[in-house]
Amino acid sequence: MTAAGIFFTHVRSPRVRRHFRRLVAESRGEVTWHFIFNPDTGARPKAPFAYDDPAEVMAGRYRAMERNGGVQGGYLDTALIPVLRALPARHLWVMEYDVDFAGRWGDLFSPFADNDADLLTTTLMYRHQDPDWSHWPRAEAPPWVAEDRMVRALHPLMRMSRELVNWYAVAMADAAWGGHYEFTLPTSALAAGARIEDLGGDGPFTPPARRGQTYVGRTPGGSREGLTFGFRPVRPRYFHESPEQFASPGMVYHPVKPGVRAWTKASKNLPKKA
Amino acid sequence: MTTPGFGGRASLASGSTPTPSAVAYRVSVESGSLRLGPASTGGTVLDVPLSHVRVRPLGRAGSVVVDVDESPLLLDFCDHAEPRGAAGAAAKTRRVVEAARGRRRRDRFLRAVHGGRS
Repeated sequence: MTAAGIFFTHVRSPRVRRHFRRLVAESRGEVTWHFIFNPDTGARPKAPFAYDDPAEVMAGRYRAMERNGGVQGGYLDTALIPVLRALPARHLWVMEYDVDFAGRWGDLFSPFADNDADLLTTTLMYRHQDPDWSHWPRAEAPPWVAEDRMVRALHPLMRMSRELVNWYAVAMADAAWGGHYEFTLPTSALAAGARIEDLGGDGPFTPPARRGQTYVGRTPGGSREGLTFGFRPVRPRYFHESPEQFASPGMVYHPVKPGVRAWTKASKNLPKKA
Repeated sequence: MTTPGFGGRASLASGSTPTPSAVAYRVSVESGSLRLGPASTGGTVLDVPLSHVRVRPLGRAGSVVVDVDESPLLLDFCDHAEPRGAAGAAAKTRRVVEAARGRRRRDRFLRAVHGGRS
């Protein structure tokens, strides 16, 4: 069965549309993609199919998202999970609009077609391996989750199994969970006994055969030279627009902001005031 | 007097309405806690004190809405899997029998939750 995927964006410009069309055309055999547009900071994006009410599917996290003032800064899961749950595929990719690949998209996804991991994502590290991560101070877990089993990640590109989508929504019913979904998702998945793998990079969840593959990101040793996938630097043009600006062929890049302001704690992707 | 616990399996999803996204879980009520774990792994998805749990039976078969910290989960204690080739009167009889079994499992679950809280 072909995997399904959601391309998640808060920008619907012609440049983003062209980026999406390249993704669809080049990975047609591997992933069936859906364009998901979230025009504001809420958790009810526009999707080409029906999905259950996020306030019901992720009730506790939804209330936390409202207290936060929107999905920005850690609560995007309240929008993603209900949408993913509506797709009848065994594996579900999530890709944000500011992720790009220096190559043919199908070459990125096809090696994972036979992979049975429940969670494939990036920059997975245990708490003690990245103690300075800026979201630890707000991370909260139930008392039965040991601190040495707490994990962080970076999710602009990830794949979840259909089971994990269910497990995560159920786990988050416990109000003892709190903080960024880059913490709650991998940590609750690990507790659930899910199979977790890094898409590449060089971390504790990277399988030996994928070490140094897929992307260059932050590691337990710190940031690496030639970083392709992280919080910064921001690239202004997509690969199909300026391939010469992508120095490492066959690598995933993030963030690429095509005429879009980079995310900051001050802007939080909020719409520009008229 | 020892409060009866509960151990069994249920189909489960977040929310309070039936969904095809429900999957099989291990469900246990013991030592004052509700524990849920995937049927396919040995892990834990939820482990909460019963003081955080409210239960609402739903319908005539084996379903129950469990509110954990005011977040609804729908548990179904019926086995809806149809045997291969099942059809007609035999299939209908099986569904009736399974609904009764689900209702009994649900009743045991509800007793364990109510008893464990008191």
